[in-house]
Amino acid sequence: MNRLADVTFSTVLGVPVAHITGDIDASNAPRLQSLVLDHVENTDASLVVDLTPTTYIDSAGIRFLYEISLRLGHRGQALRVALPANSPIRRVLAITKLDTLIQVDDTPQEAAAILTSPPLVD
Amino acid sequence: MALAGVYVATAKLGLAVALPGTNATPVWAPTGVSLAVLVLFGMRFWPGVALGAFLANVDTSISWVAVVGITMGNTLEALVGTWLLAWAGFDIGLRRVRDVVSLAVLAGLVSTLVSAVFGVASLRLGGAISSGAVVHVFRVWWLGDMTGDLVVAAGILVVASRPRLPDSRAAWAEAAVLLGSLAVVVELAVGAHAPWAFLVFPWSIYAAVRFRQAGAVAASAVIFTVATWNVVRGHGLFAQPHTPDGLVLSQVFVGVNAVVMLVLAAVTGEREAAREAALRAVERVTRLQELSAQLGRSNTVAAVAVTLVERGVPACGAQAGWVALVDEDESAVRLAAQTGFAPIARPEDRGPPGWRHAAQLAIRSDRQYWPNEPTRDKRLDGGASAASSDRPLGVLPLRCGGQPVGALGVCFAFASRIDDDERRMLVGIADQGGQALERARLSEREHRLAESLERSLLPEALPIQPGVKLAARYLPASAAVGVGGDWYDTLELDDGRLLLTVGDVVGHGLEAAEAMGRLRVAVLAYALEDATPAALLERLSRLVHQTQPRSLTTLCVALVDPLTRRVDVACAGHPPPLVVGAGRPAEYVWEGRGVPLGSGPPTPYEQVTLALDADASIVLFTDGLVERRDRPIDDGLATLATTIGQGEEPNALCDRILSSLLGDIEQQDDVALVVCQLAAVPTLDLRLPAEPASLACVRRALTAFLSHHGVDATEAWEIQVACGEACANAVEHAYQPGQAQFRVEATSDHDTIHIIVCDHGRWREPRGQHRGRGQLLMRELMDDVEIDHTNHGTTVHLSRRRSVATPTR
Repeated sequence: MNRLADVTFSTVLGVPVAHITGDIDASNAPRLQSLVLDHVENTDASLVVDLTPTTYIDSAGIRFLYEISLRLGHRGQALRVALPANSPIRRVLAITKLDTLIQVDDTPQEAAAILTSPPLVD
Repeated sequence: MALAGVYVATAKLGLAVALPGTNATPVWAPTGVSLAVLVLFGMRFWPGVALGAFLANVDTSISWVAVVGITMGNTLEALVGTWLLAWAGFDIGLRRVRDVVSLAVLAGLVSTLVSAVFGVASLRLGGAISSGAVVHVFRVWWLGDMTGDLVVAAGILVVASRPRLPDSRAAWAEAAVLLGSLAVVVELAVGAHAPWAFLVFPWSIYAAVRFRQAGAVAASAVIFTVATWNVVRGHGLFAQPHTPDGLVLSQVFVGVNAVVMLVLAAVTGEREAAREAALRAVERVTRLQELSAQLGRSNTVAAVAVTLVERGVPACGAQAGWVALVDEDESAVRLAAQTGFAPIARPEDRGPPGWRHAAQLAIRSDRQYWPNEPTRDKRLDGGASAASSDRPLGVLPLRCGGQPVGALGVCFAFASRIDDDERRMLVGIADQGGQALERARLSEREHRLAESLERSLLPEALPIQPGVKLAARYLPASAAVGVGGDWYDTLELDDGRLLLTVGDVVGHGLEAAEAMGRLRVAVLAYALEDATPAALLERLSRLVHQTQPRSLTTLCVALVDPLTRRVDVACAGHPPPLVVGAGRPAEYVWEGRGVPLGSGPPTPYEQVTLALDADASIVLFTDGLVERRDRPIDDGLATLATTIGQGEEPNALCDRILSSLLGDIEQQDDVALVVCQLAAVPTLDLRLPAEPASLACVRRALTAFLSHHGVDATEAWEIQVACGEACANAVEHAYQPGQAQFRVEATSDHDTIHIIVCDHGRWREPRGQHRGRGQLLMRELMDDVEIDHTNHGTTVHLSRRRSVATPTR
């Protein structure tokens, strides 16, 4: 009845986007993780986790993002996180060095665009 | 032997005036003496009669044959008379006309024939009388014995029956004057030679009507004595040349007089008794009606028992009584009520003597019994004597649905026996008592059921909200009224706001409790969609209109935002909530009001938004708190408003409100009460269960705390994350998730926020790649982090200097 956070899904430029609304903490991180992973099809090439509507995240939330990135990596799928430039969550990602592992963009559209753009040929 | 002695003495008196040489005498008191003795003490005393008759006659001049014949005749006469009276159902008090007629006809006329026939026949056989004298002697003999029965036997029997005597000194004097003047009148009437005997009648009628049986027999004695004395002196109206002939005349006069007086006394007495019985019957009906009415108002088993002894026992004329009941689990019989018994010093002996045994007998045998009655059930004798100490006692089973569930015992202190009317009355009372018990047991059972249903529907625990102190109470109405449909509820919304509802489904009993349950769930369901009070009430009014059109419900809804201390209130016909702010008198919220749910077609509702001070309280309640039969609702509201002081701790306030408004009186209605205090959050001190769900509570509380201290949003967010990490550690390290608690304290000095998180678990050194992140975040986000581990638990101190020191609001 009193859920801290909800996940809604959409598709931007053909890329599945998981919008996480509310607080992520130890009480709901495992549930959110399985909700998000269950939504990603094997045929999907990538996923955007949109933390724009997220109001709180702690180390359990960091672990949640890390686990998602790991699972997708095993399946050869790419992950990007969308966060506004001024979001305080960016500070948490920076402290925990997650931003070195996962690419962060300002908006889901931006992330999806990068994911769908043809790879640059060196 | 005594009987024989008396017989001989009285016989000698009679023989003194007998027909010469015959022993046939017109004055034969022994007949009356022997009849009275056999009636009073039993026919087995006949040898005394025989001996007396023999001794009285043996030394006279008559022959042996005559003596034997006379003895047999006199003995048989007494036996036949006694037997005939017993057959006719004779009562010695001569209070009924039939008793007087029995005595006059069966004993006076019939049984005396036996003696006369035997006596005269044996005298003839013995050659004492000639055949020509037979008729004359027979007549003298017969009349003499008859007078003995009518005057002497009647006198002895009436005296033995303890007749009604004059009840005052004046009445005694009146009786004495009456008898004295009677003696003079008889002397005048009988002593004269003119036929003035009728002069006696006014006196004898007066004696009989005024003093009844006692007057009749006393007057008879006087008339008998004076008349006989005159004849013996050969003087006056009845005097004849031969004394016995004169005595025959006087005895007829005396006998007729006696019968007339006794009949008059009996008729008067019977009429009086009938009048008294009619009055008693009216009184009984009145008392029984009062008892019924009172039993009808007794809704608990205890009240029924008390009513039975306090009203039922006096109603049937008893002086003391008790009610014993079998426990509902049928384990024991216990005394439920008693009256009229002297208190006994030792408490373990409390109760009338022998009540338990008597009650158990009545309950086990399921029959009424009447110890100390002439015909009592031998099997019940043991309990009876123990229970009664000689006083007449009635013990009746009280039946519930045909089963004996208790007993009513009554003691009569004064009456010599329980009469039929009292007995019928008691049976009626026991019947009514049983029915009342049945109703009371049913109503108590329903009350318990409804109460447990009601309680099971109330919230188990109140939400723990930072900045909010909540307390709530529900008190069911007394069993006499039946549980009502009051409830309270609280709902925490995702955004940290709190919905308080207090409602009242009109009515009592299971139906109200059930309607309340449905409505309560509906409130929660709608509130999850939209908790705005006015919108909520409108939806509910539509629901009630559709599904429960005949039920009426009042409801008050308050939506509380602990951070802004804004409260939206809407009432549907419900008593207004009370708001107590800082330094202001308590005020009722008279805005945002609409009609009760179910009072008509759905309508829009209004709401009012209140901005409460820090430490202000809002009190929601149902009308049972302020409305009482003996007190108008306005008085109740005024009392409540003056009872509430500002800043009192909600739990203490709830208790104080209940005790000062309800006191010890039996509640007519149930009461629901919610007190919500909106504290400013200058310091934070939370104790929460060590489980992940508590983390969100800490964040809400900390948000309120930091906002109170003017910490800016980014800074607050970072403190939030650091504190969250410390708390997550405490939760993760708790030994027993179910019971363990952790504690969060936050304080602020002029430029620094301090947070302390303690738990009772053992600190675990971070292991693995994920474990270190929590500590890392704390150290990065706070200025200072200290972690102390002991065997008893872990304490984390976090502090952060504020970038801009803002004075406390």
